[in-house]
Amino acid sequence: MSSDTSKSGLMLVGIGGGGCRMAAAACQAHGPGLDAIGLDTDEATIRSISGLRCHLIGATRLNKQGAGGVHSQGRLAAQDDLPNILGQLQDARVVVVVTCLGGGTGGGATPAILQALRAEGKITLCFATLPFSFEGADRRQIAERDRPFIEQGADTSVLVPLDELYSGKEQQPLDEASRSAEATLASGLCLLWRLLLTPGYIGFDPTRLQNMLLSAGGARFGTASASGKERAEHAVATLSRAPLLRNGEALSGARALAIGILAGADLRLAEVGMIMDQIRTLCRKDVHLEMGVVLDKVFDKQLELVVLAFEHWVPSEHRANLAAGGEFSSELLPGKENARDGKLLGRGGKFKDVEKTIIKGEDLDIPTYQRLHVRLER
Amino acid sequence: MARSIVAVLEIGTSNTVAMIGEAIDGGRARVIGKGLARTAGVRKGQIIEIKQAAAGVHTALSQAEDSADVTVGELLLAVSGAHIASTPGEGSLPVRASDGKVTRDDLDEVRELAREHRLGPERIVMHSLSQFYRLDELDGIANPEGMRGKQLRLGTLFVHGQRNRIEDAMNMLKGRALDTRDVVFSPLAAAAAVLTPEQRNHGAVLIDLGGGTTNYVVFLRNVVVSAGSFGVGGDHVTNDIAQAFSLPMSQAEEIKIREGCAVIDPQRSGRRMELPTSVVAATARSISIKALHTVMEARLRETLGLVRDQVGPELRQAGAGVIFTGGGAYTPKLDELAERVFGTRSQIGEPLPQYIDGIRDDRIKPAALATVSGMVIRSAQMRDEDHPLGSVGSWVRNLAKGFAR
Repeated sequence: MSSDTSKSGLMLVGIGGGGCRMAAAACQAHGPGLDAIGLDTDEATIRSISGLRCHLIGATRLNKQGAGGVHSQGRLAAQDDLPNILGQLQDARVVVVVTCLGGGTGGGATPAILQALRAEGKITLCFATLPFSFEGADRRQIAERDRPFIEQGADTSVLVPLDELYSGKEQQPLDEASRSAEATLASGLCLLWRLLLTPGYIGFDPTRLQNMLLSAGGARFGTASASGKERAEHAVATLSRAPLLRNGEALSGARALAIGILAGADLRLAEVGMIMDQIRTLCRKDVHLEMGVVLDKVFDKQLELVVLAFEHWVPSEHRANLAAGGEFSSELLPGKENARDGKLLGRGGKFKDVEKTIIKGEDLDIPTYQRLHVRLER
Repeated sequence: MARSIVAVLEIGTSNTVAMIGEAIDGGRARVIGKGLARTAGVRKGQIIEIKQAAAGVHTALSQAEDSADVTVGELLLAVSGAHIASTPGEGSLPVRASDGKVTRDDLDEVRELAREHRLGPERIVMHSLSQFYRLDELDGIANPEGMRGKQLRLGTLFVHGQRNRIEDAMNMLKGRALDTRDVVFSPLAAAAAVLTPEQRNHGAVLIDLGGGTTNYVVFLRNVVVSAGSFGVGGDHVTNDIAQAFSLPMSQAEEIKIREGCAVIDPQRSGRRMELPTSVVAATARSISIKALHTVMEARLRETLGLVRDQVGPELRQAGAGVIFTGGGAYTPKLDELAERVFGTRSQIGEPLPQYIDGIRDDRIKPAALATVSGMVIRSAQMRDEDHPLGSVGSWVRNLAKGFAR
């Protein structure tokens, strides 16, 4: 197991041919420090990928020939090798999965792996691309069928419709568009890794990401890059038009944003302030912002922004409330009466001798009113 | 002709219920014996003290045997608990006829393929429930026989549980010389008792609110599309009340039953409830009804939310709404809370008189008998004249067929 993962608790996994290629591209862009593996059913694809530790799954079942676009074969391949897969990921607390839907391995194996990771108590962020329209109705339909399994399986899923990524660029050659899409996502992943692992001026470590990902549901992911004198303004403007952020819609609708600012040592305080002010103007008033700033010489004279926009995120103290039905009674106001010093009073009672009921990281044996910090009329 | 008699058992977290029934005309069932005991040694649907749990089984079964005047040697066992999960599967094969028409053989074979699963040996598959067929791009087909296409697929929902938990219960029964003929996931059995064919067809979410677990199944177009269980139940509500007001569990349970409500009841929220002095040593005190309802609403809303999040978009297609069974179904204003959480109407699901006679019992409300009633009903519907227990041995397979199409 890599010492990088042991330290950071963070690991990247590419699943299927497309997922492996993206993970490999992210590793290449990042250099040492990004711990990643690839999982695929097709030996030939694995051979074609360099710079990534790839593992063949379902080899006995599929004769190393791939899942043939069959969802169930991909799923069974993952299930065949789950102990090995989980063994590879044992040191990770947060697993970032990248995959392409529309095929057998990406769509079939990924949900099975996400489900197993959840059962192991790991937090998962899954980036999944939806195929271009020109790839045909079949692939699109398969992807749409697999999509809910990804959304259900991952703590947070980022679905990337490739059509949106390339809207307005229909004249681009087919091969170039596909590879360019993979490269765009890989570079975004690389930025995310740098944000999380590089000791920052304002740190955004995996634990903060983990807290945001828990039960966040769906998210949108976008990046922007700029240089020059007005790079801060330009980067925010680019971000606000980013197709993957639905031309700003994902920002204005988000309940929470994780924002990474990555730059060289020349980053000015005023630039950070300007970026945050401008982003705030694009968002709802009550948006929860988590920011990290990384200064790294690889970004010299550059400014990179990386954003995860969570549409359905809620604060941890209200998370169980949302899971339980959205808006809560006005009586359920936050208070300290039952949560002295911020500590819950504990499980105890009838459940002290039985297996805990833990769902999405919440110990449901602890009274709900305590976890929600509900003040009770005395 | 031999009487078609079946014995069923549910070892719930709160109550152990035994029922003995027989088939009567028109596929209906009649209860000929019932037994009920308070359960001990079970938490969250899981046996933690075998001796205590066995004592409840003994009491309940003895009562049922006495009232039915029969001796039970084998039975159907209802199972619930957080270890129960459902996993989708799929069978797929190319249509073999040269004209591309799907034949009966194709259907049989794809059904067999769809029943193959890759669950580990630590899991017992209790039910393999057929979903819809898919022929090439066309999805959601109930019966594709005679249709033309190239690739035929059939989805399956596997309902499975932890082997050692299920076997613990079966071994406990074996110790009383009782063979477990089959195990059944509780809410699936309950559905057989409380849902009409129309409700199953229009789509319904059945939620069994038990003492230690909350179990659910979802029907769409007469097919079980989702099923699951959480280790949260009425005991959690009681425990929350006990902790909120520093009460013993027995007192909290009593208060829950007497004054409880699923939402803050404006009619009662201004009142206070006096607690007997014995509960709080020498000092008398009272608790706010509003606070009591607040504690209950928080827990119940969260519990229903867990089901809602699991069911997902299928909830919108459940035209018949939500049907509650189990003891928790009678919580006052649960329908109001359910409407807020699910955005759809709800009702209490009691065993339907068109399916079963003789379930009334002063000791327990009908919705809490839905599971055992359902097992008796399904057995009666599938009776086999050659065997006194009918085709119960193939209960699982027939359950799937019966519900699927």
